[in-house]
Amino acid sequence: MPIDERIVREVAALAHLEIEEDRARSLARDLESVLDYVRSLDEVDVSSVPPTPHVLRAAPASRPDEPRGVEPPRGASWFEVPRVIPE
Amino acid sequence: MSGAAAAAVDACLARIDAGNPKIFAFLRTDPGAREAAAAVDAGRVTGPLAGIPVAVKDNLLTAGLETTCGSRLLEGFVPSRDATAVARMRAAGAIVLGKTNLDEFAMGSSTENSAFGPTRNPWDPTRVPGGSSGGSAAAVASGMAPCALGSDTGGSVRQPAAFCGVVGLKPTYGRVSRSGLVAFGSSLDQVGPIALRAVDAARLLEAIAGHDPEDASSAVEPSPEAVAACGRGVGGMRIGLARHLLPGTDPEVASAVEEAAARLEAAGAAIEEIELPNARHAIPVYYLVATAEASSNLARFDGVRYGVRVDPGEGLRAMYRATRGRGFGDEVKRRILLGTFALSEGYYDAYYGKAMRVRTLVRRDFTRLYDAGFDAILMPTVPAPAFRLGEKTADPLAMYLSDVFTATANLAGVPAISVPCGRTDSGLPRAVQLLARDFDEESLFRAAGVLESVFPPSLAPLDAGTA
Repeated sequence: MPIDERIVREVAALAHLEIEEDRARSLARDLESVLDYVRSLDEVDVSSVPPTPHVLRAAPASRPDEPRGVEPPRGASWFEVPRVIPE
Repeated sequence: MSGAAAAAVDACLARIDAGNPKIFAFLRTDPGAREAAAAVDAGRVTGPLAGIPVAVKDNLLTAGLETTCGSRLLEGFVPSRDATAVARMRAAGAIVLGKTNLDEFAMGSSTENSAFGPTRNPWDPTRVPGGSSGGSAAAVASGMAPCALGSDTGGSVRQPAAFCGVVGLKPTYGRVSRSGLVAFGSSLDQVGPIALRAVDAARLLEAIAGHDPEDASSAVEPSPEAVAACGRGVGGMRIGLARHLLPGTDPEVASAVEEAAARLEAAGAAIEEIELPNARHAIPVYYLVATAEASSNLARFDGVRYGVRVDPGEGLRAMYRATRGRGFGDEVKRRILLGTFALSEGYYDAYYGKAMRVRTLVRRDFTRLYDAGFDAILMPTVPAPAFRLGEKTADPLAMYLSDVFTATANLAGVPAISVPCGRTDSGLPRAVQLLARDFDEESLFRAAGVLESVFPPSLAPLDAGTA
C-alpha cells in the first residue's frame, strides 16, 4: 500500500510534528521508497519465529526501590518533595 | 611548569585550531580542559587514563558543557551531569577535550545531517567522514585527539572509523552504560571507543565498561582484559570468513577482507568460510526497529523540558507541533514519521512486529556459528570507501545502505570492531570488521592487534586535499 500525502499528514499528527505544506509530497515519496525496500521482508516466513524486542541475556538488573534525596518526616509513611507547581 | 597532561591538551588544542576550520570535527572545545590537565599534572587526579585527552560525541551528556546532539532543538542545552561513560572516563583521569559533530540525534551515515554543518573526511575533505560519529572519527584521524567516544546504533562508530582509517568498537549490548547517552534506538545503542591504535581503544573500553545502577540494561559481566588482548596474537582462534558478502562491494573493500584473512591465517588463526544467510535482512529490519524506537524516544523533545521552544500561542499541542516541526531536521522527521507509521494501528504487525521476528533470525545466524566453535567473524565494515559530500543526501535509501554490514551486530547485540587495513589506490582508508560472541571483546582486540602490526595506523595530514 503506497504512502500518500494523507497518510503522511495523519502520521505527522500522531507524532506531534508540524510538516510544511510543500513537504508532505516529498516525504511521502521518501517513506514509500524505504517501505518498498522494507517489504523485502514479506518473503521471510516467520510464522514459528518468536520476536526479539531486545537482546538482553539476563533480566535487567534492578536497584532497590527507595526514594533518593528525600527523607520521610519522622514516623510518617509518606515523604515530602519540593513544590513544582506554583501556589 | 607545564606537565605532560597540559602539554598533551595544548598539542590537541593547537591541532584543533589548525585543522578544525576545514574539517569541523569539533562543535566546541571544553573551556575546562586546561584546568583538568593541571589537576592531573598536580597529582590530584590519577588513573589508567591520567592526562589523556578524549573527544566526546555531542550526544553524550557533559556536565556544564553544552550538549546539542547536532540539533537546533537542543541548542543551548547544558546538562547538569555527565553521562556514565564520560564520568568513568574522567574518573580514570581522562580529560574531556570537547564535543564532536554528529548527524542530528545520531541519525545518519555521513555527518551531513548535523544542523551545524557537515564534518569533512581528513583524508579527502571533498568526502564524508561517515556517521553518525563522524566528528569523533575525523578528530582522531587528524590528530586533534588521540581517542574519542562515539555511539553506535547501526554502525555509527564503526562506519566512520572505517572511512577515516581509525579503530572503532561497538561493545556488546549492555557492556557500557547508556545512562546519559541521548537515546535513539534503546535496544541497539551502545557507547564505543574510537582511537588511532587498538590498545588505546582497549584502554578506553576498560575504563567505561561495567554495570551501572543508572542503566538497568547494563550487564554485570566483569570488564574485559582488552588491553592485554591486543598483544596476545590470534593463535588458535577460529575465524569465519563471510566471503558471500563480498560480491557487489567495491573491489578494494573485497581485497582488504581477503588480505586481512590471509594475514590472520599467517598469524595462526584458522580461517573458514561461513555464511550469514539472514544478513541481507539487516537493513530493512534495522530501519523499522531503530525508527520505531526513535519515534518513542524523541517524543520527550516537545519544547517543555529541553532546549528550544517554539510557541505560536495556540495551546499546548500547537506548541509541541511547532517546536518539533521547526527544531528537528529533515532526516530526524523522516525517521520519526517512519517509526510512528511502523508502530501505528493497522500496520504494527506487518512492520514492527515482523521486524522483531526477523531480528531473531539475524541473531540466530551468529549464535549458530558461535555454538559451532567460531571465535570471530570477518567481513567488510562498509561496502565502499568514503563517498563524496552530497553524493547520497538526495536518496535516503542509498544512505541507509552504507550501514548494510554494520547493522547486523546491533540487531544481534554482539560486539564488533572496525580495524584499518591500509589505503586504497586513491589514498582513502580501507577497513575490515570483526564480530565476536557476546562479551568477547577480547577476541576482537586480539585480531585488531595482529592487523595493526601488518597495517600500521597513520594520521591524516592536516593539508590533505589542498592544492
